[in-house]
Order: sequence, then structure tokens, then C-alpha cells
Amino acid sequence: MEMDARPTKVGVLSCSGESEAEGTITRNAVRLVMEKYKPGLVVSLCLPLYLAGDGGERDFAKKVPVITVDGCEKSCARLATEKYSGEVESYLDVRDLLKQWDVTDKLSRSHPGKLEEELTERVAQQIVKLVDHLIEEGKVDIGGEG
Amino acid sequence: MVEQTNSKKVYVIPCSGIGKPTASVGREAVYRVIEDKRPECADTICLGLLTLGDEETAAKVRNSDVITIDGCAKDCASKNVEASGKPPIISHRVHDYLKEHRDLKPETVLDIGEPGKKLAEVIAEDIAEEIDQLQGKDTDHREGE
Amino acid sequence: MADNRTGKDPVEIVVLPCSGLDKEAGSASREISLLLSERGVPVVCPVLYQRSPKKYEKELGAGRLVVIDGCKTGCASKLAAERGLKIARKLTVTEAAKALGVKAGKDPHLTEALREMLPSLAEELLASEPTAAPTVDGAETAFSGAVGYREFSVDKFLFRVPVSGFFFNENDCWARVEGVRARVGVSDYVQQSASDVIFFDPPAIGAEVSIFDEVGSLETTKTALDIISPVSGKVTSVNQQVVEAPELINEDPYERGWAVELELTDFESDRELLMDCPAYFDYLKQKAEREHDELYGG
Repeated sequence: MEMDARPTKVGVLSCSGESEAEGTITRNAVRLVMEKYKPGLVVSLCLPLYLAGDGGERDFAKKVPVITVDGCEKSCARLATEKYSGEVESYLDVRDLLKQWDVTDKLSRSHPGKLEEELTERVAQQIVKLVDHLIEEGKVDIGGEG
Repeated sequence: MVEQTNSKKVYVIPCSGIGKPTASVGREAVYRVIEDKRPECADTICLGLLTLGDEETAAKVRNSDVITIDGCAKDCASKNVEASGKPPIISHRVHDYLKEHRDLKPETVLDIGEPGKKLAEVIAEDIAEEIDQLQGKDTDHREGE
Repeated sequence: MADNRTGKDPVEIVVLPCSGLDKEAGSASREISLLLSERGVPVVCPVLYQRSPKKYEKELGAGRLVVIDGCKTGCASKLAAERGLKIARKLTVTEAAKALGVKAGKDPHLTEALREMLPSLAEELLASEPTAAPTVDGAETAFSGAVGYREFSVDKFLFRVPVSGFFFNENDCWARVEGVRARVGVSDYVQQSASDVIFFDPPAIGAEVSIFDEVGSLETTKTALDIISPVSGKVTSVNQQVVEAPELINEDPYERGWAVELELTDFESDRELLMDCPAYFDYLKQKAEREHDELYGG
């Protein structure tokens, strides 16, 4: 990550995870962080746009600390960031998280119910922790906010 | 009924963009196709895996037809699928459907709302018919001709 | 298709239908063009035209172009727009059918209800004067000079502002002035903020517009907004390409995505209320940085 002055935003890149329930949880959790828990601080990066090379996603990811959130061990978001922008500051593997939390129920990728919503919320809180950690380490300048 | 001439699955891939409600509509449409309307002959794969060259994913689509549905004019699903070496056989844009169904504007990324779901249903219906055509299935409208 | 001409007096239109094979409306589009062909109207095959545009040079040069789209996807209109053809009249079958209480179906075979409408739709096309707004052929206007840009970024968004030749109001609409004419459109900031444009409702040709009047409106996936004219004048033309493919505004907001052209009435007075390019750049940079988080939510 190239930085001159301290950046004021954190980029979060989620996998697109169409085929897996964890992908849906991942995508929704990132959106939740961006809209509700860290509005104005977290900027979500769009993986398909990132991969297609259009828009300013890749350049932006070079200028700010990036957290990647992947639905499974294939780690598309992390690999894409490392390939096009540089190393990530931190990353999450949601499938791994769910194992740690002993979640064994079959989850739905298309019709998220109560359980999926609760897990989305928990994953969102994990992302928030990572963002807060970046703030504590001084890697992002929040100017008194966040 | 004409026998199925192509038994391979058709892969339907949304862009899954995180920034626009129309991308969520595309994703919803795909799920309706592969889980409700044509579960026996359609599926999806993760666009990221395909674009990053995951061999298992590439093998799935190599000999199959791919339909993409993009949430905006950036056409990421279509472009990324093409870049992987397998151009989609049909590409859709949610916006083209919105132009015909102006009242079905989706609400938010996380919750497309009833209008968004209806739009997804319209798109899913079209894709389901396309899958039937690709698979060489005779369709109901021939009856009574 | 010219082979279908009969001995009847040819009419001075040429038809470009869509080739929709998957819906009833597409079949209707084809049927109408066949009816017109029986009346001596040359019909352009859209598929052949895509591959060999030269084939129809003579016909397209000799008649007013009538486009028949089956549905609002507008494939024939888009093809015409891509080729820079002036559309004199356009028919969208689904819209015409809807107006008569008929719904075109998914089955491509024509129902009796739709089939009955077709001869009268064909007659309307033969009888009518051009109703579409005149298009502006780029070669005929002075708005063809290259545009240079300055850029700045806010988060992952890159915003462009022309270097010169444009004037802006605080509604982020621009006017590009050449002599006594101006083209009007919305800025890159607007098209990014408002998201993907799906409809452009143009003003009437001949409408008298004062500075800061509404001169057309846009509907996007996110919102609806008016184009606020930076100049006073009379509407002389509308960008038909944008009417047919509003996403041009997103793709190229300052050049191909222009919306309306006006004959100016008092630019010297209007100018005092506008920002030139450098001033707008500074203004927009501050505005974007201030408003970005609120507008985009990240």
C-alpha cells in the first residue's frame, strides 16, 4: 500500500460468493459495516469491478489499508488484492470463522433467515474490530471520528 | 415433448456488485433460476474464482454455456467471463429490464424490496426460457398452435 | 429487401426493424416491416446491416429512417444510433400495443389481438410526418472539437471536468457554447452520484428556456432529477442517441452524452452567473469532498 499522508478511509473488499452461503453472509456483512457501523470511514470495494479493472478500485486500494473478507478458503478477495494492489492489512475467512463458532447448520445462500442474519451481524462485528485495530495502530486518520 | 439434446448444465452468473441495488437484483434472479425454476439444469459459479483462474471452476464452465446478468453498464460479469476465455452465450443487463418495468425499481443493496423481487422474477423467467432453448427443450407455447 | 418493391409509388421512408425472435413484439416488428415492404418501402435487415453496412447505403441515403422496435430494449434504435443514423420516426410495438389495451406476450407467435393492429400501425408510419426530435449530425455542428480533462479523486471515485469551453451552474449542469448555439448536459459528478441513467425525457423542440429552467429530466436507478439549463435559449434539437441509450450519459457525460441543443438568446448575461471550467473544478472538488460520504455512504 502506497501512502503519503495517513489515509482517512479503510477499504474493505468482499468476495462475491454467489455459489456459497458464506459468500452471501460475507457480502451482506461488509455492506452492513459500511452502511451502519462505520459509515464514511469504510469504503466497500466492488470485486467484479476490481477484477475487470474498471473504475478506480485498484488505485484506491493502493492508497488505503485494505481488509479482505472471503467466504471460503479460496480467498478470491485477498488474492485479487494481492495481485492488483498489494498486500492486505488483514483478512477474514468466514467459513473458518463459522467453524470456530461451531456453526454446523446448513445455511442458505439465497434466502437468508434468522440464523444467517445473526451470523452476518457477528461477521460484521469482526470486521469492525479489524477496522478499530487499524485506527488504534494509527494506520488510518479518523480525525476524531469513527 | 422433444427430448433434451444438451444435458450439460447452463451456468448463470451475476456480477454480484456490492455497490448497486440492481446488482442485488441480478443475484436474486440467478438464485431464482438455479434453485426454483431450473435446478436440474442450471447452476452458478463464483465469478471471482473464474476470473482468478481457479481450475475447478474453469473446468465446470469449459464445456457448458454461460449466461451473465450485469447490474450496470460496466458489464463486469460479461467482461470477466469473457476474459476467462469463455464468452457468455447470452448477456443480460438489469437496466434493460428496468427500462421496460419502470415501476420495479429495487430499493437498497441489502434489501431490494418487493419491486426488486418482482424485477428479479421477470428476469429469472426470461433466463429460464433461454436455458430451455439452449438445452433444446420444446416449450409449452407450441401446444395449441 | 428492396426486391420486394411493387410497382406502386415508393414512399420516401426506409424501415429498420428489430430482429426480435424471442417475443411476440419482435414478430410484430417484422410483420409491420413486411406490410410496409409490400407498399414499396425499403426494409433494412438489421442483421445484414450489422455485417455489411454498405449494402444499405443507397436506401438509407434516399429516405427518412423509420425504426421499429419490438420492445423498449430498443435494439433497432440502438443500432441506428451506433451508426449515426438520423431517426425520423420511431415505433415501439409494446408501447403502441399497450396504448390500445393489448399486451404483447412472450410467445413469438402473433396473437389475433396484436395481428389486427398491425395494418393500422403500418399506415400510421406511412402517413405521418417525422415526430422525433431532429438529431444533430456531428459532422454538421461545431461541437466536434476534442475535449481535454482535469481529474480529481475522492475515495475510489474519479471525477472529470473539462479544461475549457464549458460553463457550469451550481446544479452541476454544463453548457458548451459555440457561437450562438450551446449544448447542455450533466457533469461527470452528477452521473456518478445519481447512478445509472435509465430514462431521458427530453424537452419539446422549440421550447423557450430561461437560465435555470428545467430542460429535460433524467431517471436513474437511484433517483429522478431535472437538467437545469445553464443558459437561456430555444431548444433546437435533442440528442436522440441519448433518448435511445441513456447510459451514454454515464459513459461519456461531456461529449456523446449531451442532452439538448439550444439557440442562445442572451449568453453574455447568462455567463455572469456561471462558472468556467477552472472555477467549477475548484467548486466541485470542495463539494465532492464534503458531500461524498453523505451521497455515497462509502
